[in-house]
Amino acid sequence: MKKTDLIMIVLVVIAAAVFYIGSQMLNSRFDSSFLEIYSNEELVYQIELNEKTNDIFIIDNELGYNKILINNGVVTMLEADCRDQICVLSKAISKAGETIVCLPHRVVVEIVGVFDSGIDAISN
Amino acid sequence: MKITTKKIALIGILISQAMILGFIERFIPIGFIVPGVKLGLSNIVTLISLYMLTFRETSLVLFGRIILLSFMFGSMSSLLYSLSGGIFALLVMALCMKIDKFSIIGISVLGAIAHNLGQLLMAALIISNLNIFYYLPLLMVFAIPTGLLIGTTSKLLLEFIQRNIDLSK
Repeated sequence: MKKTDLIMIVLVVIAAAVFYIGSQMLNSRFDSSFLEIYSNEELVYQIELNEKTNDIFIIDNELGYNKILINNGVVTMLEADCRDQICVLSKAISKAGETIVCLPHRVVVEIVGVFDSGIDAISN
Repeated sequence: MKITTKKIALIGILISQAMILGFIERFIPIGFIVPGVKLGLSNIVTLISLYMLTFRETSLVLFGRIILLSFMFGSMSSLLYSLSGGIFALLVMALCMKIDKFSIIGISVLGAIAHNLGQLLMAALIISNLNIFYYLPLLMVFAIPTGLLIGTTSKLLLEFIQRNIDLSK
C-alpha cells in the first residue's frame, strides 16, 4: 500500500463525516415533519409525523407488496415481498431527511421537514 | 482492435471467473450490516484485467460478466444498477491507474466508492428522488474495508499470475 492510498482513505472518511454531519444539522432545524410515501413516483400518502403517530400503511402496486409501520413516530418497513429485502433490513427512520427505499417496488418512504411558516422546506 | 486467439480465450476465462465470483457473492449475506453493501468479489477480476489487459479488453470482461449474470439471475433493473455501478467503477479505476499515484489496493477502494456512487445515481434516476444520497456517507465508509479486502486479494493474485504465467507469449 502506498502513502497516497492512506491519505485518500482518510480523506474519504472525512468527506463522509462532513456529509453526514452536514445533512444531520440541516435536517434538525425543522419545526415539524411529514411522512410521505411514494409508489412509482406518485405520492400516495402524506401524514404529519410526531412522537404520537401510530399507523400502518400497505402499498400494493403492480411490482409488489410493502407494509410500513409507524410506531410512536418511528417508521419501519415491516414487510415486503421484494427479492433483496434491503428495505426491510434498513434501519428505522424518525428524522427529517431520512428515507427507506424499496428499489424493486419503486416505493419511497421519506420524512420531509417543514418550517412552521408553512413553506415546504426542501430537504435537498 | 487487433485481438489474438490467446487474448479471446483469456477474456473468456476472466468473464467466467467473474461470473462465478458474482454468483458466490449471492450466498454471502453481509447486507445485514448496512443494507445494500456487498463485497464486490467480481471486482477482483476487473482489477487484474486492468493490470494484464488493455482498457478495451477490460471493458469486454466487465460488460460480458454484467450482461451474462443479469440474464441468468437478475432482472432488467438489476442490469441497469450493475451497468451504472460497473461503468463508474471501471472509469475511475482506469483513470487512477493512469495517474499512477495509487497502489492496486487504493484503486480497489476508489473503485468500490465509484461503484456505490454509480448505483445511487441510477437509483435516484429510477425513483426520481435525490434523498437516496442520504445513504452515500455510510456506503462510502463501508467501501473502505470491502475495497481493502478485494484490493489485497487482487494484489496477491496478480503477483502469483505474473510469477507463474507469461502473458507475452
